[in-house]
Amino acid sequence: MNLYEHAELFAQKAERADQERDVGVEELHKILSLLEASERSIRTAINARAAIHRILPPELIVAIFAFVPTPAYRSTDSLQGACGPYLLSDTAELLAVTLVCKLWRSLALDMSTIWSSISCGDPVNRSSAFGGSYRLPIHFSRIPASCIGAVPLYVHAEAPDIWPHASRTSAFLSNHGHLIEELHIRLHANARQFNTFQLAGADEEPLPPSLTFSATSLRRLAIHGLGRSDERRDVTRALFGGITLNLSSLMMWNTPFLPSNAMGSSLTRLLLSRSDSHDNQDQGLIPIRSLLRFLAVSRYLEQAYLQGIAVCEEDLQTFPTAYLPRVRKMAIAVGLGAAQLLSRLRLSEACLLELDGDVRSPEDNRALRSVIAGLGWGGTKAHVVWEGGWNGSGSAGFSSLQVINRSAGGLRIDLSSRRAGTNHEVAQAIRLFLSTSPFVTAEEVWLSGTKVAELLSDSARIISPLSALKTLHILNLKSLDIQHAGILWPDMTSQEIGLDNLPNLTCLHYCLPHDQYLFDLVPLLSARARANHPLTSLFISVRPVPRDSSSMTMAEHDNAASVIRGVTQILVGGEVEVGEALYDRPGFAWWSVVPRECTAADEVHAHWPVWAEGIANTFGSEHRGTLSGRLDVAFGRGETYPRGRGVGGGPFG
Amino acid sequence: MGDSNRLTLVASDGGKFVVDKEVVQMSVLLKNMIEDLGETDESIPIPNVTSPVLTKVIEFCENHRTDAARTDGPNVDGDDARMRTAVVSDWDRQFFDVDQDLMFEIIVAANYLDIKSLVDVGCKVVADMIKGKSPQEIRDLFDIVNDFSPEEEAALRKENEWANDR
Repeated sequence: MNLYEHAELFAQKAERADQERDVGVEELHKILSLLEASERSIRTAINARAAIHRILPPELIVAIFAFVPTPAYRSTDSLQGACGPYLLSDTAELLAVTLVCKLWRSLALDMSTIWSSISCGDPVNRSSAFGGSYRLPIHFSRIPASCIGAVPLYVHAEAPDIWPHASRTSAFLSNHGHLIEELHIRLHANARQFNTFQLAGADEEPLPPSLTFSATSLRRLAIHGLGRSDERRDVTRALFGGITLNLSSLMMWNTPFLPSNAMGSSLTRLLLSRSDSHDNQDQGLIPIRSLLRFLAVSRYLEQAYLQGIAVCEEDLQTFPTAYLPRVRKMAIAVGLGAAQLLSRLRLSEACLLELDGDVRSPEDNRALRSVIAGLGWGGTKAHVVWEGGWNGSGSAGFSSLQVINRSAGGLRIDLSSRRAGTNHEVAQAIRLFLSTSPFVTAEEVWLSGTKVAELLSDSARIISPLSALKTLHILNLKSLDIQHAGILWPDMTSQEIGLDNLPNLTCLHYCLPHDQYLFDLVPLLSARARANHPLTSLFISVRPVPRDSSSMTMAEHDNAASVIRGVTQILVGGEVEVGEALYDRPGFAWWSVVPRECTAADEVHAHWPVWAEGIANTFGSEHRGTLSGRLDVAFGRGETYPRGRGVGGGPFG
Repeated sequence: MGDSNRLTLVASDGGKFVVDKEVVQMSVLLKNMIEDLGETDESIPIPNVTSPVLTKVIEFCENHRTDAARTDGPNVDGDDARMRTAVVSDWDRQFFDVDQDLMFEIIVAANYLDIKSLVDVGCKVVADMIKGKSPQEIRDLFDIVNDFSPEEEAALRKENEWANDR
């Protein structure tokens, strides 16, 4: 009798059960249990025949499960970029996997590595704070105990100490805390509403349980919102019971102190940040003394992003000096506090340093200039961006001064203002910074942004301090006439080259947006030649021709390049090159001369914006992390070649 | 004497496939075999893979032959990083737009031939099918039936009550 016939017989007997008067209830229950067990066996047999089970071996099914959780952080998240790579993933999706069938449950629960990432917390608070963009978290206690213990744990805890999870959190951490290698903890879903842990009188305040367990394996720690200090006092606290922490990465967000027991650890990345939404701008700032004491013993530090430093009223000379020879990337914001901190740091010339200035705070800028001059760096290549009209950056826009030195280190200063600044204020601020080393020694300079004409204005003389300048790259400028680029024109009242603006300028790379602007380039070249100060090299990038029927033909285009070369060659002492893609060629493009840390997608983030041509305020903008749109950066928007109106058939044709 | 840049693979059902050596070297297994064999005109039998599956595997390898990160060179980021960065392109999704039997057989074949990128892409495609679905939807998708006992189901329900506390 085969299995089917067995089943049929069984079903017939079951149908007749009510006629079998001599069979008792207990026996019927036994039969029912048998039937149910048989049913489950049959279901298991059915499952064994499902294609996914029949074809795939268990190890490949498990490999599929491993792809089900999604990374908790996107690569563009500021935390991931600044402190990453974080290994957290969202394991909530795995719960459904464990409920499909016995085999799947067994396979999933036996795979401890996929449960090593735990996202725990209060889903209600979480969704209200983030608009529901996060998935439902799994609480510690939901992870089967058998899955924990074999591998390090990565934990994202959202308000774990708030009811109803507090006791379970505490129990979990006391049992498994020693396995946690990565902890990202947000103590307040909303700092305004859940201001549970005030630091005022902090010495007496108990720490939440989620920060008192024995974190002996902890390597990466991120804390959001542990208290708000209204005072700039030197608060120190030891976390995790005061055990010596051996962190590689530490992020403190809206947490105005540094853990004293992480001092001197093998920390390589440090991020201090605070929300701009603080009602009191002085609230939650880190005192310089605390920070310096911490930095002074962080000798392995490689990256530091420091925001929210309190201005110090004390004599800085009494503070320790922090020698940070390994730091490659450092960003310090903002203003006088940043300048004061920087004055007590000793950085290698191979460091890439980013600072912020406010064009309407000349006092702060003076302090910054003094400090950066004190670095003793000599720049070789510099880039000045001036973008205008961006929302939130003042009417005069945003500017960025970037310089690279011989050691492949560099400095970037972003200038903007919370209050509307004027063009004059921006111009003045840029000029003063360019007068300071390391900018003043730059021999090769790029100018970009929508306000390049302001930079080249003869009246503002913004770039005049760049007396060592030999090679100038000009992007996004329509006209080189004397009104728009007066500083490039020779002093017509003197035959002395030394009296010229930019006396050492001999090489020009100009992105010519349209052939009609040759009208302005040629007179400039003529004037320089007549003044016995000709260019010796000229490189002209021409806008690439759109490959469509409405544009000029390829033949017209080739002819145009030839005409441009011919017209300009006689006015230049040496080399002339005309090409479509010079602006983007290595050596000609700013992005190609800056170190990879300044442009690589895996290096840039909200705290470390890309150093690129014409990129305005990159914080949170769509430009962050990308170098797209370089054509517009080079030539501006909206200029096209109408058909039959190229150089060959145009004014020089 | 045949073309030294090409070789013949023989599927389990006897089907023969002449392919570029460069293409099949995405398979660590085949790469090692080629290195061991040296210059030879001999066909390489692939006993565990049928012709329809081998056709698909070769199609994948040909499409990805120019991928920079192949099997050569050390995987400095380790398996974890590899898993996280496995990218499924539109082409890959279309490639796996086949019936489930064939899809799983391709993954098994890729695993046998040690073509990590194909295993990863295949597993990720299946994982994406699972994501966002309820247990019953997953069962329906893969022709699986619920084989938990009522008692087990009750315990699971209790264990996951919290998931409805949204």
